Amino acid sequence: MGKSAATTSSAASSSYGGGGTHPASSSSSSSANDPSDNKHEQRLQAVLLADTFTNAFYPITLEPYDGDAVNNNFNTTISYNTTNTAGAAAATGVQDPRPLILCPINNVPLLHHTIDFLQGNGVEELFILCALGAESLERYIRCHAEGGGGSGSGSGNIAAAAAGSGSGGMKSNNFASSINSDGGGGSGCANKIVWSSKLMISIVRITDCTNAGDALRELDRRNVIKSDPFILMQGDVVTNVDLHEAMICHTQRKKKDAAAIMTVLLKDVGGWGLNEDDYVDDVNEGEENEEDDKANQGEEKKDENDGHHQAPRGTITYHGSSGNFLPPLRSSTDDLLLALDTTHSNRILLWDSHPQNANAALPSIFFHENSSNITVSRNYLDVGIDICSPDVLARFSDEFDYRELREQFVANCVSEEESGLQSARIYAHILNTSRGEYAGRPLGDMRRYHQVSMDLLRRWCYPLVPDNYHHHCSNIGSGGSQVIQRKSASYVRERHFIYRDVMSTTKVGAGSGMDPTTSSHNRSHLGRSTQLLGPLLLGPNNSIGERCLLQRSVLGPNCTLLDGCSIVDCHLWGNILVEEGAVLEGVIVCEGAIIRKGAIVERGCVVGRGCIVGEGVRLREFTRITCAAEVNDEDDDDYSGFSDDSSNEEDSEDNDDDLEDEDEDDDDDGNEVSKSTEATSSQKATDVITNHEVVGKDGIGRVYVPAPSDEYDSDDDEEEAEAEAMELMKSQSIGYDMKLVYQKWKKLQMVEEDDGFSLDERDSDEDDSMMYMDDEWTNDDAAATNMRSSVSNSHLGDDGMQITGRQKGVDVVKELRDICLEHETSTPVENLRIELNSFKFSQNATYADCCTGAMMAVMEKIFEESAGDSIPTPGKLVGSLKKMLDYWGALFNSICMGMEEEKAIIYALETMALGPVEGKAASALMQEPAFRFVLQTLHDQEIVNEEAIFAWASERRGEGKDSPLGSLFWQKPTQDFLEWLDEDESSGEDDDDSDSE
Amino acid sequence: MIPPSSHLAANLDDPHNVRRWLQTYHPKQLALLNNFEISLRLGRFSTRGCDGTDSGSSAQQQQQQASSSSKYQYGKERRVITTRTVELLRSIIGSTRWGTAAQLLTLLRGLGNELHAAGGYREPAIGNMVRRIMYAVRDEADRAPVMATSTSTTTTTENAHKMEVLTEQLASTNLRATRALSLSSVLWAHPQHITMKHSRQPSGSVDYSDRMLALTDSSDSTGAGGGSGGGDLSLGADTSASTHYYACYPPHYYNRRDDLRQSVMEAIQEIMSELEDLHKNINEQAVQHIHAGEIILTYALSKTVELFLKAAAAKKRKFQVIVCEGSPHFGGHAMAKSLAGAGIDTTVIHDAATFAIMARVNKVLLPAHAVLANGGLIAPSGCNMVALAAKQNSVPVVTVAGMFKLCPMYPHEGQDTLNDLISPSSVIDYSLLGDPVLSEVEFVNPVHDYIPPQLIDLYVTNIGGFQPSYIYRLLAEYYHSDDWDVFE
Amino acid sequence: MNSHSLRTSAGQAHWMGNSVSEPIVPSRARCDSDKMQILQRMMTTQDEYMHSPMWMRVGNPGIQDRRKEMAISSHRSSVMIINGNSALTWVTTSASAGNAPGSNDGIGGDGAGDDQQSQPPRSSSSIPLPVAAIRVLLNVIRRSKAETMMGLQAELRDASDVMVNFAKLGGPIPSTSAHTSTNRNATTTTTRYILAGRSYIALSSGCELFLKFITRASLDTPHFQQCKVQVLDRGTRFAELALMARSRISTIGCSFINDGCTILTHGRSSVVESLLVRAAQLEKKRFNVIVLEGRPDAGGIKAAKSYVKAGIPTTVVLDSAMGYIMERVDMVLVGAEGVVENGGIVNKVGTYALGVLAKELGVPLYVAVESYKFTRLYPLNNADLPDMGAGGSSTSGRSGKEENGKMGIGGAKLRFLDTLAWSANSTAATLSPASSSSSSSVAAVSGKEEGYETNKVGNNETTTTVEDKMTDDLHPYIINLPSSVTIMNPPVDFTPAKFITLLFTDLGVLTPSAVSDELIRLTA
Repeated sequence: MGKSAATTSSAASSSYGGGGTHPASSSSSSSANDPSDNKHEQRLQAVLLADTFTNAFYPITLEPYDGDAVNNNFNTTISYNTTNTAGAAAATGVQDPRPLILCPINNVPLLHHTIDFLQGNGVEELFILCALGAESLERYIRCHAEGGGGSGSGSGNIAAAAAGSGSGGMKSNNFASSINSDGGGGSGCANKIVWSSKLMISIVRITDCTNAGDALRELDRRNVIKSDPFILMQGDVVTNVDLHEAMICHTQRKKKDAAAIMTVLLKDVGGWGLNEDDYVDDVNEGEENEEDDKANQGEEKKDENDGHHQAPRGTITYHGSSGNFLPPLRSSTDDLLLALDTTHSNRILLWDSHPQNANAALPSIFFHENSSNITVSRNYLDVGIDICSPDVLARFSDEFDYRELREQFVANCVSEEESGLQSARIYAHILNTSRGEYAGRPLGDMRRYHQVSMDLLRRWCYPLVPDNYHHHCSNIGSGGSQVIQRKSASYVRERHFIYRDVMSTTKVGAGSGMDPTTSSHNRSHLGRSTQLLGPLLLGPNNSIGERCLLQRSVLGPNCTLLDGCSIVDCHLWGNILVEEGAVLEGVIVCEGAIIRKGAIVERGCVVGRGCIVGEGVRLREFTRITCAAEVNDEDDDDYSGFSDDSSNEEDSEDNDDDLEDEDEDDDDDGNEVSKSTEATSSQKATDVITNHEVVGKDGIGRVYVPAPSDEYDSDDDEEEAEAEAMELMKSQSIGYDMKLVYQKWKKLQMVEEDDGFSLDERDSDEDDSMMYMDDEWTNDDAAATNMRSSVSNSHLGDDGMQITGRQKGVDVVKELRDICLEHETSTPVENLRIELNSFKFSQNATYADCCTGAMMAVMEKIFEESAGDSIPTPGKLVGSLKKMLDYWGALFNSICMGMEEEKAIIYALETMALGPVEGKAASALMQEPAFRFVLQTLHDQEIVNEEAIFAWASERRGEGKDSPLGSLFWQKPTQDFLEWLDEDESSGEDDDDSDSE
Repeated sequence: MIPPSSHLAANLDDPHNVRRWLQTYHPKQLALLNNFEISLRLGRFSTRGCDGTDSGSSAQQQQQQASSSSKYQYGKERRVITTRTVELLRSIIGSTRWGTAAQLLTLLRGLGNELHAAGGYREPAIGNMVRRIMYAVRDEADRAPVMATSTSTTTTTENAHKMEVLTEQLASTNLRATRALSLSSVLWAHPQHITMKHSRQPSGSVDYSDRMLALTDSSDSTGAGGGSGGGDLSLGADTSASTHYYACYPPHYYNRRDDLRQSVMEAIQEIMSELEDLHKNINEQAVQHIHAGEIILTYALSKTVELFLKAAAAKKRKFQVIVCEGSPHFGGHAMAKSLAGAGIDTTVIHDAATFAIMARVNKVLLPAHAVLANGGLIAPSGCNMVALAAKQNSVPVVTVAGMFKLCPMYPHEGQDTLNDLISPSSVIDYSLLGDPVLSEVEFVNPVHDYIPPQLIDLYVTNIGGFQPSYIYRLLAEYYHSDDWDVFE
Repeated sequence: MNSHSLRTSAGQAHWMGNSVSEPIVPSRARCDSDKMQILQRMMTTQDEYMHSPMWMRVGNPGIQDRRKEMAISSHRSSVMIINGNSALTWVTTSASAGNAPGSNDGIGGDGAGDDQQSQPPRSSSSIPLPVAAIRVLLNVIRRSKAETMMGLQAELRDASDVMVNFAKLGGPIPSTSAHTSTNRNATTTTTRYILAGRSYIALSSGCELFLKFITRASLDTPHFQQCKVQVLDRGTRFAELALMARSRISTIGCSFINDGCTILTHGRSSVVESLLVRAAQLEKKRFNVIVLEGRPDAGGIKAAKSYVKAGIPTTVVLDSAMGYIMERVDMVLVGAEGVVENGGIVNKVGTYALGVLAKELGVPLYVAVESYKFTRLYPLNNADLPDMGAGGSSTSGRSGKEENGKMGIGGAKLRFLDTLAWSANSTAATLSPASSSSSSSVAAVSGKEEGYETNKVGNNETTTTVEDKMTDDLHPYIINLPSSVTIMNPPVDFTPAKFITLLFTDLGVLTPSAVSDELIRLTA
């Protein structure tokens, strides 16, 4: 029957095209000004990333989700063996969890807001990319879709899909980051659902995709996106933006310049409360590195403020934060720094969302363009809606290593342009807040969840207010031929943003008319002595006793509050019983939970589905209790790529997909073991262990402990990691004082400014050290000096820029070296250069790294060619080196931007030389004149110039003769060479003597 | 799961069936409906356009250049959306298979609900149009009742029989009385007012539910029990005509009439034409109200007022206009611009200066969002202040409004009537709200004011000028009292 | 006329005598005297053809009843007069149930409140006076032997005249009352008091409406019998409509009541009561009610009791405190005895003052009234009001000391007593459903008030005892005025249209000016 309905309505939607010719429809559609009409017949498509895969909403998103929990009473909500998700359970071992997007915000699942928004903006085909909880999502959509099949037909598909995704799930467990095309097998077919006759929804299972990049590649592989532009939307957005204007701008831009393939929506939410003195010293820094032209990496580094001194090239106007407070909509991990080229319609030049970075770099070429006017601001919030051309997908397919949507993409595009390649351009569309355009990311973390929900009640997101729900959702399921008892709450607004539900439980479709008395009796009971302080949202069928206090809270349907309890800053999701005198402050309570008499739940707590807080229990702040079984955090590591916030998990991302050195491997194996054990435990954990000491004797539920992110490697101490994770979780809970977060960041940045150290950098150094680890411990020191040098000649820790977006544990230099080695010398070296370039940007590496890698590669090749195990004599060595350089010289010239790279080359040589003693390379280079000759050759070939050598020399001079680092330097030939150099330098100019000494 | 039979039985007996009815028989028209609803929703997104009346939102649209013209009209030209509504209804009514007047009325009511939900709740004119068409239908149905075999009434029960009897009776009685529920119609005690005895109340509509309650009171409790026992509508559908509460249409509404469609379409056409030369008719009266050398004060931006003034100016009348800027939307700026463009001597003041300047003003012209049944006015927020100031200085207050803004409703909630709170963003910048102190402050941004009738001296409409006290009679001429209740 | 009634009354009495044994529905029993029940029975046995709630309520009459009845009504005139009398007595008693016309149902303290709890609109289940009158007229038709329309109309006019005159003049109750167990004295005062003009307007307008209706009907169909059938058929529906009116009004009115508002009411109108009760119980609105005491019949206080039953927080204040209280009031809601042609209303004395006050303070004044109370009066001021017995001249010059017998028509004897001295806490009391103590205090107040009223209204046996008790303990506090003092006790006053914001009628919400429209359309 459901099928029949679906067919009819689909017929309707198809015939709509014909109907378009009708006067009324044509007029209305033209008035509808939805972009699908004012251009070719292509229906406007949208892609919804249904899931920001953070663990911010753990454990809520771990708990199994059975359709609409509104209808089951306290007992059934906590019953786990629901049959309809059996397929999913079979596949993934745990029952299908609740998709984040189905979390209610102000009593309506976010999904509805999103779909309403898209539909309202004329989207006619929607692809929902869903990884976790795809089954329950599909089930939900099916039973709420207008023409959607009834549960009968729905369940069939679900079962099949579940099986499919089951295999996918397995796959994803094994090689988590496999992005090969056969992943499609796992991600079941996208089956269309007729939501309304205007909107088709198809759910794309991307069970084996691990981040937004993969998801988009997967989408591209299916090649379903036709419309230009299409809307790419994060799942957790609540907004009332009118995309129309943005789309027009986008299309116009695209017409002019085919490279303008993406428009990112931004909202000005005010910056972090930075006080000006932060900038003063920055400015000075800016000046001085303005002067010294030995600005490293050939790429001019700029602090966000030295724009003031850029006057001749163009002006940078700095948008300071307005005031000394914290923007409420910011996530605790997001500190977005943007550079917009306002003259060129807000082109995005810089995208840095890492709170740790005190500095940021901006390619100079954008300043050479005359009249370029660059705004650097940290006031913007990433709305999470992009208007893209299909090329974007293609591009993601090309750049197979993009993980998240923004940072790498922007960085890459910018730097490509800088290096003269044809690049994509990304523009920003800034919400017109004066026209009431609002956007929030409620599901990023719970703090923002509360914030956004309150904003909605305060009507910031205007048409999206509770007293409009009734009308908004009226098209949802209305007229659907299946009989479902839909509770359509219709709220009335009272003073002080208090919204109360008025009557109306309506049966949808062929529902029987209902008894008028019951219909009007349905208004929820409210004790007269109860005090209501807005903003407040009271759902249907609540009963609230006397002498209660309610403030800044949302009550879902069927909540029962007994006398004298106080609810402040809380979200009660429905079917909740709060007994006498309970006190809740800043708590999210999921369906079916019970707060017993006199219990006190402090701020930031989460009471999971079906949990029970015992009588008189005091739940400490920021504790999250759940009934969900333990789960391995493997998933959220994999998926964290989706989220814009979880940058630091992301660094730790692919320990498991890149080839690594042995010790790395075996401790990773250790991880695997532990995880697998966890997994098994979770599978057999059907009923949960209850921490009675926390929830009380009569309580139910365990305490959820956030899993430490792997950013701390084996050598780091676990408790620190856990503390970090716990801190993160707290910062993502309601009632957390964001000032703390901010101060933490300031500390980080201070650290960095003092000694150029940042979290990431420390990691990166470990990486470097890792890479040298197998050769010799000494090079650890070399790396350190390397780092120190970078500090010495620019106060700007360039690493901020270098390391961000670098996959953790990637041995960059090693990679680069391998690239060079694999390169066909028959093909022009230019290709290699491009290859290196792309890799460099993808890993955010430096040219120095490239040089090191290339140099090593060259030496490797030499040693390979040199026959057998006979150690080549210095002469032979130099000879072959010369030969090599004929070919490779071009490369070095192109990638040696300056001092830094050249030194890197020397270091590379050193490294080789100091390699394992038995190693061929080492012995070859350690032979007396060898190093000198090589050095000289390089100098003759003008790959390395004097300054670099002297700089190196001046560093090594400090070393003792017998210290390994010193050894090469103090070699007689090296000294001679240096003197010789020195002389013909001094013959040229005198001032360089200082250098030599 | 309901049996398909009942699914097919989605006949027009209950406005809540309409969508399903369309889906079953007229998918194409359903598509039209959906199209229109989407466009309404977009109207919703275009800067609160519909409800901002002619209020400042549209002014900002003027500043925003990229926006498309159609949306631009949305905020501004409420006449457009109204016209489109009528077009839609015409095309649906014209091409669907309804049999009797009763069915048509049910269809219209259902459509009314749909449109209301899709955004009509913020644009009262839409509901008004539906009501007017319903009125036209009733009118046609009453005009020439025929003795045809009543289709649906014969189905069941003594009740139906009673109706037959009454049909003859009513044939002889003058039908003017059946129009509305009035003293005289009470006299005639027409069955439609009381045959609701066994009816049930499908949902929502408070009015009907309680008429029905009334009967369950006056009748014994068993009558009601039988009704509520009836339970499912799919059952009720078959026996509907007599058992359903919409049986409260006069019996001859259940007769098939072939000429009905034709005449209804004509009636709709009349409404269309009235909408078309709306402004023309209004502006004809401009010279009677705006005299040479007068100082006229108006508030914010209103298409109607703007055209009205321009029309007067076109008649070579020299007069001065003072425009309140109408914060926070500042529609007054746009207004002043366009007036000055028409060569009118224009002054812009900020709203706070209204009272001070009122002493010099000869006449106040107010825009209208809706005109209420008691002669009260819903106007852009701030107009109440202006009206009060005018009353204080006994300056006549004239409101210019098309009849389509005439709403058959009373100011139930005083200032909250038909009112809405939009985003406070025009009051304060959101980015300032990080300040913990500010975040505790409530920012309220109401769209409208309710102005009680005694503050208004004259309504200038496209059918002439009226005093507020006369409005109720206009209502009686435009809407049937049974259709007054708001659509759900 | 009197002789007539006296002559026939014996027969009627005899008839009633053995019909007393008929089973009686408790709900009625609770609220009315048994005489009431008997007459009720009589009415209902007479109009057995009516599909009326009364029918169900009283249950099928025994066949032999009808035979007796036929026997009795053998003679035209007697029938007519029986009807007349029954009408009279019926009117009397029905009116005496609750002491304001139009509220002659069990709403007040007496018992029917339980029904309200179960289903609020039930409160409207009893028959308002005009409807009763219309029923009587219907019976007249049903029973009349008239062969021509003219004859029929003549009969009807007679009947209505009897009733209206009775209402107007408060003619002595026929000896039927002797058979009821109440003492004559009480009853006579009853009739006097009750029909002291208050009910007059509504009653006459109701009859007027019905007569007009008949004449119209007569125009439709020339053939008499057919016409008669038709008239009966419609008439019954008409009566039903009239019955529905109240709950429809309450429906319409409810939408004007917002959460948290404070409503001031005056007098005791069943429409207002059903409206408020509905709003509180069915629609779960949270609002407060302030009730004016409502001298002399303490209507306000009796209303307050029913409000409290419905769980509405209620405050009772003195009539003279209306000015004090007005500033904290959101809307004024009153009923009406009648709505005159210019949109003004006639209502319990004090409404005028209330209206003026409300307008001055910008508080809306709403009137909840059934449409059959629209009358073709056109008073310009209070002096223009038709003589309601209380009207100046009739009572002027008569002192309160005069004993009932010679007392002026209608004008209830005002008794002035030092209530403060009598009982400190009884002048005003706040009733809240929550606290039992305050409600008990209400009991005290209303107890007093009832006694206070039953001096004038004996509506059942207990009256005497109550009365005695009250008179006894009231005695020391009664202030006797010198006979030179003129005491006026106008039961009603006239509130011009300009003070009225809106009227809630069963025809929908009307502006005052719309009323005259309706009336004009009626005659047109």
